[in-house]
Amino acid sequence: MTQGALTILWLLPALGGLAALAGGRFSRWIALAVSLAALAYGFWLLGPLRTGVVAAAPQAPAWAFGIRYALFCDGLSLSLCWLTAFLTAACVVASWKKDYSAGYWAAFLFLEAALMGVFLARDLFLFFVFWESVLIPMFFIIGLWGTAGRRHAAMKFFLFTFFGSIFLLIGSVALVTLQHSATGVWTWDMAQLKGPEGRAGLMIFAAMALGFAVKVPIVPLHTWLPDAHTEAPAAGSVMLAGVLLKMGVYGFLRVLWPLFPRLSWQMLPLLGLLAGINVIYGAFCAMAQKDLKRLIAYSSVAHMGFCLLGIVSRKPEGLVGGSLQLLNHGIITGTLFLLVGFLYDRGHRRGLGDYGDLAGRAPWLTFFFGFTTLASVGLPGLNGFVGEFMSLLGMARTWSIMAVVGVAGVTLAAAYALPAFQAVFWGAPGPDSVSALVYDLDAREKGLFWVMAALMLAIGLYPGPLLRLLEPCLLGLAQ
Amino acid sequence: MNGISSAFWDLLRPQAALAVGALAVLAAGASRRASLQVVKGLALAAVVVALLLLMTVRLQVVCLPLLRSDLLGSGLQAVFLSAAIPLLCLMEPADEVPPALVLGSLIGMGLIAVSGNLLMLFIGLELMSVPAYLLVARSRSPQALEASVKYFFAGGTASAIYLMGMALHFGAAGSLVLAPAPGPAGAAGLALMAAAAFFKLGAVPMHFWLPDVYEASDPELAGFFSTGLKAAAVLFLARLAPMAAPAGALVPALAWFAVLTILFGAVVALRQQNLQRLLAYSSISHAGFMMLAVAAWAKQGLAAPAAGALFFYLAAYLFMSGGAFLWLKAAGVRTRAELLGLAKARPRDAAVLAALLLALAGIPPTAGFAAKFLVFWEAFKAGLYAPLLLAGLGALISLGYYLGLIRDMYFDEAGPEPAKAVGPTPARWFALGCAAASVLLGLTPWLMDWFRPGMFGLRP
Repeated sequence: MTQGALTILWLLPALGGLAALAGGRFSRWIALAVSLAALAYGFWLLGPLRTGVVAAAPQAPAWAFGIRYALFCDGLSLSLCWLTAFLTAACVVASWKKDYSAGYWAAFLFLEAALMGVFLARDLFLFFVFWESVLIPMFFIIGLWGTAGRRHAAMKFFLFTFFGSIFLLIGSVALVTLQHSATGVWTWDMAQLKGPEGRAGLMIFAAMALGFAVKVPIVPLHTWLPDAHTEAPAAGSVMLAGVLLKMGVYGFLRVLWPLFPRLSWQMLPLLGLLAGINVIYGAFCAMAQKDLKRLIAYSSVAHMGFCLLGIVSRKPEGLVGGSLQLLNHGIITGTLFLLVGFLYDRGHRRGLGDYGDLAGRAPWLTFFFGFTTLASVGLPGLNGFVGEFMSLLGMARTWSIMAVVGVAGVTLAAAYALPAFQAVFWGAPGPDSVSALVYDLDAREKGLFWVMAALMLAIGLYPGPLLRLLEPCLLGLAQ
Repeated sequence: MNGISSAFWDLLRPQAALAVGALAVLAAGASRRASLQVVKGLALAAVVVALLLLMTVRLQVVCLPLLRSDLLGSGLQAVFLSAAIPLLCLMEPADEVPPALVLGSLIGMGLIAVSGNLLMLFIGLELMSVPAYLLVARSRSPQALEASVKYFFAGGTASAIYLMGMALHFGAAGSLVLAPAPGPAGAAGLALMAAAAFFKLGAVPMHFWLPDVYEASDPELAGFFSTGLKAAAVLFLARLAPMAAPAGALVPALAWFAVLTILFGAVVALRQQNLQRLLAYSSISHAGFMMLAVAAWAKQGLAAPAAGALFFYLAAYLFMSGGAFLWLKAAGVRTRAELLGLAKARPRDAAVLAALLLALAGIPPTAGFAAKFLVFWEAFKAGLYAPLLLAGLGALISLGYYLGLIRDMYFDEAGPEPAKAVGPTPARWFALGCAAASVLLGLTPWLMDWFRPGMFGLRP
């Protein structure tokens, strides 16, 4: 797979974004066409990936200080690119009827381009540039098309993640400079970089981990998340929870584990504990929420804890399960945010107590909401179960107490998700309930959710192909 | 002898062109037949000729008793000559004097660029500053005269401090060449001269004149101060750097003053309502990053790549900050309140400013990011870890107002006093060009290649 073939994957949405900006009333058509084309192209790339040319040697000449334009693709990158392309297309379809300006559709395509770049970059500098470029479209998506608190949420989102990024940048600079003084070669190539030993290595690890942890987010660096997710427009929340959070875990897997194989393994107690805290803390916070979107936002904190438990365990099943859970969580939480978005479009409220007795009024909405909730709490047969189970299996072999904590988290997930579902769809409507405004899903919305539900079921019943795709690139990280 | 004098005149050629231009401008103004457009055109032509002459001078290190040239000096001279072009195009002078003053100031800056001697440096400093005081006084704002007087007294104090430092240095070293002087008197002399550079640069704690001057000046003039004059002031500081021993205490002190400047400028800018004042504090904060680059350069024994970082920062800053001030002129906006909801009413203007602000904030993929990255890189290599972290914090704080302005424009409804006036068309083109350059310089990282060690490989 050559650099050019991979370049198309991020350049296509970027150029599409420019076209959408200029496209006027055709913007949404451009966005739909480009996002579907990117998805199709991503699937087509599976062929070249299978034939074995996984990472072409970087051919581009180095810029200053050994910085190169170098891309790279393996099963993990490609599957996350699929997720990005799929959710972008889903967002476009979901917002189809909205009366948004050209900028909205362009922003999603620019966001897609930057995210693809993050997942494809092989050069650490390039990775950072894409990593930061993600912030700009997301900032505008939250701030321009969000709900009442959007101004504040957009600033908070940007400042918080920029804070982490500064440490990521300083850590990268330190890493590259130290390597240069040791070997005399300037390189930003992730495959050639090696984390130093000793105190310097620990500080670099800490700085870069901080940058990634803000994105995951690891408690207590998560406070930007509930605001951003709640105030963003529905499609923005989908991209935030569905893809942006994955960047953090991807950073751990792609950058930190290979750079610091020993040190990251020695950090197991700390990282495992933080992951466990994420699971439990996120679940308890979700239980206390009265706002449906906020509840899902906190549930994301808990679910990212499961992903972390898997990848921190450093056992093959944990690593693969944690990575699979990235995709699963993207699909499930994306669907939940879309559903809440449709509910909000109808009733203009998000509170748990604002609805009630929707089951009879909107059976399809009820069906898909229930289906996705069950996938989210880890019902066997649906995709959430596979990822969580494998993550916990890995952790059980490494640090069994944390696996027990994780299992408790699964129970807690049922304890916050099911009552919320029940309150909205079967609860007795209060005096100021807006349930009367809610009508059922139309054909477009139903079609979208059929695709989502089919994916959840397919991955839940037959995760084999995905696992085989992810396995080869992760086994090397196992301890 | 012949070779030396030919090199001597080579270095002075751009300044000579400017001087001839200034005389021609004054003569044309006196003739009463030439219109102000012709006068401005003459001044502009002089600047362009000087730029061309600068390009033809062989890029090499020349050391003469009074003058010397190096690539940092030539590069920054190109920066401040370019900074004068929009000023000369956009200024609306009542007579021929302001264009001549601009040319005079440029001659001073050019002398700083080629000076190899403390006395020459002083002449350049004065020649640069005195026209600047007068240009402020000629601005349209009601506070212009007050600001000019304030600027004059601050600048006069700086000159006095510099002379004091120069005297101490001469006493210790017995010469005025740019080389370290022994003993406490030498260190004190250098500290005093550096303090004078801080005045010119607007570094904390010698920054107090700067916001008033930038606020009272016409936007295009403030843009020139923020880019051209700043480049010359940084060069002035960099010229003093060889006099500090890399292992001495003065270099870390410079780094800490840099941090103080970055943080102070960023924090104070958060609360500004007048946009020119906000950009003034933002330029104080950016001056801190430039000082950090100078400190990293001095700490690494004047290693060449660090000078490249300094040059790239100023070249990028020319477009980012210059563009922002020109945008104020082009959009006819003065206060933050007028920005509210601007994106709905005038989407193109808002997009141009947003691009400039993202570049100033240092967000990838803009030139501002590349510039900050290079400075961070050099600071790390110089071992300035703590200042580096605090500079990162300063960059984070500065997001509060850069993004805050974007938020005001894009996420808010129009306020009670929306901006109605629209400035001259050339200003709009300049602002657009600057915004494009600020983004493209970052999107084309191979341009950084030009600033690689090779280019600045010769020690000054």
